[in-house]
Amino acid sequence: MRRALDRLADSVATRLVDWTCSRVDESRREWTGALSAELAAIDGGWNKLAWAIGGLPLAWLFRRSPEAQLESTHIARDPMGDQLPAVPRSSFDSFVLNVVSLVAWWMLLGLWIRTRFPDGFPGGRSEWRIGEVTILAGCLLGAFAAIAIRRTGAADVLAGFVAFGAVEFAFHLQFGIRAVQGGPAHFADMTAGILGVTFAALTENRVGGFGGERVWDARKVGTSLLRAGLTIRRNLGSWAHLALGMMIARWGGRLAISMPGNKPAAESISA
Amino acid sequence: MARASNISPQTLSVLELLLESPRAWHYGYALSQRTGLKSGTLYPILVRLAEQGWLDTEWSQPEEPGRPPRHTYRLTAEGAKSARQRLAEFSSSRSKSRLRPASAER
Repeated sequence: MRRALDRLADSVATRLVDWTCSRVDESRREWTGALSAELAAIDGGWNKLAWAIGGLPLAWLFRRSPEAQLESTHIARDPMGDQLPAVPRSSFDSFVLNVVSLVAWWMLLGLWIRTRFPDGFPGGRSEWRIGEVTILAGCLLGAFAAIAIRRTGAADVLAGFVAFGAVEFAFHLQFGIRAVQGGPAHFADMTAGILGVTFAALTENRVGGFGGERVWDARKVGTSLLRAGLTIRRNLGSWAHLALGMMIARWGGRLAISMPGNKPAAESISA
Repeated sequence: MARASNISPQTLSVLELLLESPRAWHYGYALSQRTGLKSGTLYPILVRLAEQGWLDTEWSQPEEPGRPPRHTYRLTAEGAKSARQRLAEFSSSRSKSRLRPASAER
C-alpha cells in the first residue's frame, strides 16, 4: 500500500512537472528542464511530489503568451532538445489538475466555514439564508478562480453548484425550508442540476469532434447511437441538457419522497 | 551587466551557500534542501543571478546511466566577488541596526 502510494505520488509529480514545463516560455525552457531533470534524481515519490508542487509557481512566473500556448501541442521536457523525446500532452494532466483544483477549493471553503461558524451554520427560522448564501458565494468565487487558472472542468462543476445553489435559494426564499429538503431528494436535485450544467458545459467544448464522419453505421450500433446523440445535442444546444437535468431532478425527487422514511413535506411539518 | 539591487534574504541565502565552495558545481535540489527554499522560489533566483552574470550554468553528464543530465550552478569570479560584498554589506547593516540605541529609532 505504502509503495503504491509512493508510486502514485511519483506519477503525479511527473505529471505536475510536465504540466509546468508545458506552460513556460521558450526562453525559460532551460530552467524548467532543470526542474524536470532534478525530479529524476530525487529519491522517494513524496519528495518528488513536494519538489513538483514547489515548482508550480514557475508555470505563472515563466509563463508564455496565450497565442504560443495555443500553437503548441507538445511538451519538450528536456532542454537539451534531442536527448529526450517530447512527451505528448495527456488528458490525464487536465483531469488531475481539475480534481486537485476542486479539492483545494473544497478544503478552502470548508476551512473558512469551520473557522467562521465553529458550531455549524445557525439553524434558526431565518438564519438558513446565511449558510446558503455563504455556500453560493463560495461556489461562485471558486468558479471564477477556476476560470482564471484555466481549469475549465473544475469551473464547469462549480458552475453546476452555483446554478443549483441559486435555484435552491430562490425556492427556499419563496416556499421556505421544508423538512424533506435534507433527505435524499435534496441530493437527487443537486446531482441532477450539477450534471445538467456540467454535461452541457463539457460537451459544448467538443463541438465538431465527429466532424466529417457519417453519423449512422449499421455495423457499429453503439458508436452510431453515441454519434447520433452528440449530433442531436449539437443541434439542440445546451438547453437540452438543462431540460434533461430538470427531468432527472423531478424523477429523483419523487423517488426520494416515495422511499420509506421520507415523508412529504407537509406531513413532516405537521408531525 | 545589470546591477543587483535590493537583494532578498532568500537570494542571500543562496549566495551564501554557493560561496561555501565557489568553484564547485551545485545541483538545484541540493540548494533547495540546504536553503529550505521551494523550487518555485529557487529557480527564479537562479535565473536572475545567471542573467546578471553572477552564475555559471552547465548541464552535467548523469552519474547513473538512464538518468537525464542535470543542470548545475556555480558562481562566476564576478559573482563571487559581488556576493561577498553583498553579504558583507548585509551583515554590517544588521550589526548596525542591532547596535543602534532604542532612542535613535523614535
